[in-house]
Amino acid sequence: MLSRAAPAAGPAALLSLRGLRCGYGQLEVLHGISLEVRRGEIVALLGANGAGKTTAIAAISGLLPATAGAISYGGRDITGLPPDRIVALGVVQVPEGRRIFPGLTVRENLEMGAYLTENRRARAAGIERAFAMFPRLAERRDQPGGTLSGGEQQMLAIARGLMSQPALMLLDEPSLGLAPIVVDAVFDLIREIRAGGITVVLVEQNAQRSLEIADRGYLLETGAMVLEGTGAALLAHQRVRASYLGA
Amino acid sequence: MSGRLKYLIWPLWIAVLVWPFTKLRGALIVLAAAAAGSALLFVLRSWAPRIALPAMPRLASFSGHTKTGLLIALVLFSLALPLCLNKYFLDVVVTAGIYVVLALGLNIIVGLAGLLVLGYIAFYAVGAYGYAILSTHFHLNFFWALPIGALLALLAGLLLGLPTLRLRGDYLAIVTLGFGEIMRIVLNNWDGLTGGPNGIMHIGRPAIGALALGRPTHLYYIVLALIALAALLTSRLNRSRLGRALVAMREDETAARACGIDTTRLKVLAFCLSAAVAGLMGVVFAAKMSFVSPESFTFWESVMVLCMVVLGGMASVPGVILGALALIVLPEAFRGLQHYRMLVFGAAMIAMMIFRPQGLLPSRRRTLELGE
Ligand SMILES: Nc1ncnc2c1ncn2[C@@H]1O[C@H](COP(=O)(O)OP(=O)(O)OP(=O)(O)O)[C@@H](O)[C@H]1O
Ligand SMILES: [Mg+2]
Repeated sequence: MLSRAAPAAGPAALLSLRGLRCGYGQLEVLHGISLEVRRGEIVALLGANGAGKTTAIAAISGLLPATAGAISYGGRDITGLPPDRIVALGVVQVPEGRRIFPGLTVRENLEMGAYLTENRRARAAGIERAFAMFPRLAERRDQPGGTLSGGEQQMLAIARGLMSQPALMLLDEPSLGLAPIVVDAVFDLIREIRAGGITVVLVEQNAQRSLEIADRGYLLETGAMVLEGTGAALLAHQRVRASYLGA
Repeated sequence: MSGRLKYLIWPLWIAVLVWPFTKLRGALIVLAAAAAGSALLFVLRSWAPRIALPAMPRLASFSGHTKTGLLIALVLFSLALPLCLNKYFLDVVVTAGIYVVLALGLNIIVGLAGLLVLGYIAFYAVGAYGYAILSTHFHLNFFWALPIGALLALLAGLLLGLPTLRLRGDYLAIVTLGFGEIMRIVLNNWDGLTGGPNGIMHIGRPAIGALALGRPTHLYYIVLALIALAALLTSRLNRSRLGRALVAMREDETAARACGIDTTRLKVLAFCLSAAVAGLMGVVFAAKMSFVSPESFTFWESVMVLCMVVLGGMASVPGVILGALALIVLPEAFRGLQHYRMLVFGAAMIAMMIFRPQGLLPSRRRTLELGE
């Protein structure tokens, strides 16, 4: 119900990065990373502060140009496409830090998520679906986004991302700075999203929780991929345990 | 500036500012007056916060009936105004009206899209000279010239905006500032086309066939119609999906792009709309004066229009109208203070920034953004 039909079969990977390099000006942040996401998976992307996780997300969504390497989605090369084309293809990101629009109401925020849906009826129906899924947001539909609580803002950010009916959702640190009970709700929601047929890339500081729900995970360190494995394998891995699980 | 300190510093600052013009005695008088005003404001604000400045009406807080009533009263008042004004004041009001539309136009790019434009008056010049040339060479009718002037300015906006707006927002301010100056220099030096510093005379006044519509009263109604049109269009824009996308872009450009909003396209669109409005009013200005020269299109004019937008309350249509009227009509009313006009003006702007940075009649969203 949530997702559009994912791009027709082809290579097994829905999203793949090959030797991706990018950065800001002279500063290269990602030194040729590769990553693969299969249809229907939750893939966790872990790494310390400044490792380049947000940068990778920005590159995939077309906000940051790649200087080398290739990004393909559904068997199609999307390197260099502008962000709106990439959203139109079904890849959406929920940015780090709950970047909702504070002066727009909850409803208007959701409307912006459906910006590329030209049909007004379809947009309204999408907003109603989102309200059915997020009753707390429905209660606050005419309240400016900036007046929501942190947890509600994160829900709104995710709901806004869902409005474009993505096939692939890139979540950047959705649990950051939230109370434990809200963190639970966020992780439940991520499971629900995947159950709705959406493939998920999950960037998280919370390695324990994210590896628990992830099928596979990657570990990024200073712009290079150093580990890859199933969620369970990474949870048990010495390096992950030492640096990210405090064990 | 924090808390009470601003009430203390502001009068001192004004006094120091006027000192060179008024000698010590004058400065002390100004200091006393400003301090008294400041003290009054302070008492009002701390003892009765509800009736003091911050509680100034926000239009959105009126009920539907009150609003309709106010609007009808305003329309009737505007329609009847020429009957009770002499020629001189009518002329001032028409000028003010032109600025109102200009400010509403600039508000699209500055207030709604959140991009700073410093040479806005250049687009006004494009419209004015466009009509001046077309009228004197080809006797083009004023009413035909209106859309043509708007289109010319829109094209200029497109030429300027397309390359610049791909870059970060700040560049637009610099590029438009340059464009404004280049425009003035070209107008001053291209004698063959623009008449150089002497300008162009004998520009046709508005007329339909044999019916001349060039009297101040006619101009008044023409400008009034354009104000209504501009106010209607911008408040519709404010409430449209496009307007909300502009707000989203202004609040968080990255998040907006992540939603699939093509922000470059939006910026170019907003900029071109703003430019077109200026071009339109340039035609009206040329027809009103029947004479144009580079002197009317200085950097100062751009700053004035910008101040109207900021003073009134960015993105708020009633606010921008109020700001424009305040900045044109008030200085005109205090003409006796000719030499100090700019000083008073500057002081008022700074006082605004200190006491009411969101503008006189801010839009609801702006108020939220400033975290009030
Ligand atoms: N806009 C920018 N301009 C210049 N450098 C940047 C910019 N954004 C990020 N960087 C740099 O790129 C590197 C990677 O940043 P990035 O935000 O991708 O890290 P991250 O893994 O998401 O970290 P965190 O977990 O703290 O969010 C950092 O060294 C950072 O300083
Ligand atoms: Mg990050």
